[in-house]
Amino acid sequence: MRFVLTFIFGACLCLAGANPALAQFPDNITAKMQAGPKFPCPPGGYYPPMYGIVGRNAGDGPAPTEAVSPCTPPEVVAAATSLGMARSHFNSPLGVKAVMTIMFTAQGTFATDGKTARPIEKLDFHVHYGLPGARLMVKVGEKLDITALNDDAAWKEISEGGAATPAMNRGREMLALTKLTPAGALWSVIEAEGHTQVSHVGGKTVLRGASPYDGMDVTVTLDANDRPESVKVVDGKTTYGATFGDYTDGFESLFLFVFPKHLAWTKNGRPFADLTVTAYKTNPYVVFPVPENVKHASAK
Amino acid sequence: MNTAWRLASAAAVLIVAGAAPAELTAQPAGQTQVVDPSTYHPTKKRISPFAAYAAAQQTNPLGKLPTPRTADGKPDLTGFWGSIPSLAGPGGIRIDGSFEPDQAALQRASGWEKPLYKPEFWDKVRSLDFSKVDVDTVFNCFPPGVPRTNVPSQIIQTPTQTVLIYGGLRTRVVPTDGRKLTPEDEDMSTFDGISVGRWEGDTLVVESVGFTDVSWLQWQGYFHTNQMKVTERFRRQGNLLFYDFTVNDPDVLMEPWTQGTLVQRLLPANGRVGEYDPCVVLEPSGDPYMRG
Repeated sequence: MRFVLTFIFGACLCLAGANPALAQFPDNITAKMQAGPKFPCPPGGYYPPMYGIVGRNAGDGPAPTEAVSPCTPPEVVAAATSLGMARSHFNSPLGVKAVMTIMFTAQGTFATDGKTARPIEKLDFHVHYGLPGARLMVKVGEKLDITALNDDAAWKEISEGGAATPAMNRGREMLALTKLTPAGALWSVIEAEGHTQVSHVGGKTVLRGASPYDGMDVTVTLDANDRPESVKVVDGKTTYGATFGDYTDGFESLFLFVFPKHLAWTKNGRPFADLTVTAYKTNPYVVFPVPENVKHASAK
Repeated sequence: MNTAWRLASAAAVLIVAGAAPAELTAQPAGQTQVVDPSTYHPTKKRISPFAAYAAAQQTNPLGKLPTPRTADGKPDLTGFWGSIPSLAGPGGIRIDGSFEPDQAALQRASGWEKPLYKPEFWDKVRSLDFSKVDVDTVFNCFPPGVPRTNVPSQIIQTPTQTVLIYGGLRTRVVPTDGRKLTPEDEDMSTFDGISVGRWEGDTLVVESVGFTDVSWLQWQGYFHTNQMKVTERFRRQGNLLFYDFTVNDPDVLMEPWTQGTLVQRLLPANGRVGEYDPCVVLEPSGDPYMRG
């Protein structure tokens, strides 16, 4: 590790030679590099996205990363930091969307009929917050029920990535379920930028905002460690809820991400899922190619 | 040293002491604001970081400078190429000593444009990705290969060949003399492929075949077969270099994969590309933060 630190510092020095702004390294490198220029949030509450560059492992080339908006409330940044979503690397600005995809496996109960939660053998949930995309795979007995989402298209599959049947009416619910995860809930208030309302209720911080990309009204209550404790998602006449418990970094300790061991979801006040997480990964390979027959159905 | 590979893109070009040419020091180094903040509202759809970054560079003043041309009228790609400082400024180190997790998180989150493997290979990709770093061939001292080696740090262009130099002084010589790839080229087993280049308008297009299946497309376990074909595109616009690549590997991919455009800026001409220390294979019990 010492070599890594030494090399990175050396790399910084090399870049300093290329960039007059970094030519003089201060004693406190961290504080100085975090400072950066200041941008006022405009009255509209949104700021055009700015990007930085981070080098990739093994010479895979540079990768652009989105900087946190100057309109984003500090309470949102604190929450993103608590989950591991807020990251920067040398010469890259702070970003708060460092959780782009997730996948987790759980056991417990789930309402496969959308109404009544029943015991299940296993549930796998894969999410891409950016697309947005999702694949929910619920095994009840020997039956595997799979629903997938990619932007405006939703479909059922007979196996993961297998033959598909359009199910456009499931799209909004699948999108809502992505927000019943800690990172998903924060994505909404992050993207609401300056429109996010911050309040303090009963000694707890409450964040409320809607992503301009989907309009779902999301309210996130934070615990004492700035982690999402509960979430309410309102989509038209449907209200979804989630509570998260027993956060741990044990699923992915190497990357400093945390995820709850327990999630409980509700739909219009009724239990929708009660899940004990058995495995979790951050930013895994999850893809949601839209099948051709679904594309045709989506176009109609 | 193996760690050198992972930082190749960040520290590929070392600028030696001495004054930069006046035309470079007088240039603004960063991107400009694409949209007036006072009137900005998010678009209807999210845009991936790669796509948004490339679009933002269209207004970079470096790209509006005259594009130097060679005697035969081609854009002159010759020079050192490196990253563009962020408009948002350097962000620094969030938590001292947590470089690898932060770097890995940022890299993964930026990679929206994932290669679409056929469903029967999804678990394989995840398995490779979740494995310890010693599964990655680069960390066993194999070359990254094309396209993983990505945008070069230095380009030397002549009428009949273009030399691409990468961090660690790994070098590719791409003929641009009109020759074609042959069936024998396709039978080769190489990390960088057998390449030929041609000009399509102002874009240098490099086609490569003859790959080994040992290397990966990227560090997240993106494997490929030895039937892979890679097309790279280099386009100079002013003092910016736009680079992208497309992987065609129909045995494992549902469709050709284009990662997304990278944009580099011209660096002062008095640089040099640094070499790496000898590679050392990681022990499986090595630093856990070096996991892929």
